[in-house]
Amino acid sequence: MKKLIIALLLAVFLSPTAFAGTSAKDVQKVINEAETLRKEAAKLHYEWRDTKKQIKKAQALLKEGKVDKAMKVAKHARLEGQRAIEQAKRESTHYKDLMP
Amino acid sequence: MNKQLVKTLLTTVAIMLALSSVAQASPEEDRQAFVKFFHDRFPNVKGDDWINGVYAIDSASRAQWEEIEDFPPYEIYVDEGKKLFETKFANGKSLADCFENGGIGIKQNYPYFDTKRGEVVTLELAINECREKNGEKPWGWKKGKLAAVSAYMAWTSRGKKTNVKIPNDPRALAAYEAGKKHFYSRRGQLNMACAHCHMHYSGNKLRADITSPALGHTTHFPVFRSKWGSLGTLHRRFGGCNKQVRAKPFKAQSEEYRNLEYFLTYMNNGLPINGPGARK
Ligand code: HEC
Repeated sequence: MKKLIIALLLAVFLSPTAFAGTSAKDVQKVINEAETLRKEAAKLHYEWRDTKKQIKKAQALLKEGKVDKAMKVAKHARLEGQRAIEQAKRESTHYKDLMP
Repeated sequence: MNKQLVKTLLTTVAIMLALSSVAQASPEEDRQAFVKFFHDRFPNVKGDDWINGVYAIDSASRAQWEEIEDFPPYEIYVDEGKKLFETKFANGKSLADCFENGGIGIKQNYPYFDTKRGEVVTLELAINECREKNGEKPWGWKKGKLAAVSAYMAWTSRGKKTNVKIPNDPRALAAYEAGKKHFYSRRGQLNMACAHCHMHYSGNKLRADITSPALGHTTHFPVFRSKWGSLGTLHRRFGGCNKQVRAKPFKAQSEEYRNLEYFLTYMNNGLPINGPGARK
């Protein structure tokens, strides 16, 4: 039992990132995904206004070591990319709804 | 499968195919439905008054605008544009050499679909291409000298009826359809289409502005806007309106905006040119 507790304590102290939740690598992955989606949306002519700015901001925050903040912004950019693509797909037929 | 069933199925498919080809309305049918929409929505607008934008439907701001039109802020730009238009290129030629009728009174025919090139050509594009062809540098697309020359050319076309044609070429129809799709598509984070603000909610207040009917949207460009403090082209305005709904704007004279201009100007066929105009 004692050994187990020590092992657990060691684990906690030795790997702070595992417990802080987010690593720089995780953030970079989300940023890359956001960028891929943004490009896809642009190709469909439906990119949103601020997605690129958000990706830049996330990258800058990451560089400053503000990992949690960077993750939040990156996830938002990724969501914008996803929603822009959904919008493009939906509007490929639904634009007709607004015709007189 | 029994024969009767096959027959019924085949007939159904045939009818559906026939219906779907009917469902694709022609540009002229589109235009008539477009015009009717606005006539039904704003029955008090008389004649061609649509060319005056929001002032056709908002009497409160109209008086102020009429005062501005007494000393039009765009006049100096028309003069500047005339000078630029008449200035010879280094090779001795001038803008007049590139256009039908020496460039006078022709704005109503723009944009047109160039069947040789397979794309929409706007007046601004034609002006800059003329400069480049003659060894001159092109001007910036959204304001400044290009807008001034465009204003002068519009000025010489005042009163001529918008006359945009869609030639019998599938690429021309495709360009028109692409512009139409842009106009009716929801875009940006706000998920709104041009048709929301300028058709279905037109005449309603949006923050400090009442949104104008899209019928009449193209006749008075380029426009002097108090907000800009200068003259701007139609594509400058497109960019601003795209950004309002938090969609990424396209570049001035991109294919996207030329197609949008093609559709929107076609919808205004028959309305007289009254550019340049003045707006808030
Ligand atoms: C969120 C609402 C909104 C959307 C969506 C919108 N606009 Fe506008 N637009 C405005 C407002 C507000 C003005 C300024 C008041 C006016 O004249 O309507 C304006 C002005 C204009 C004008 C100038 C009218 C004039 O008389 O000078 C044009 C042209 C125009 N919009 C075209 C478009 C096009 C094309 C789209 C789609 C790409 C679009 N707008 C989308 C709100 C919108």
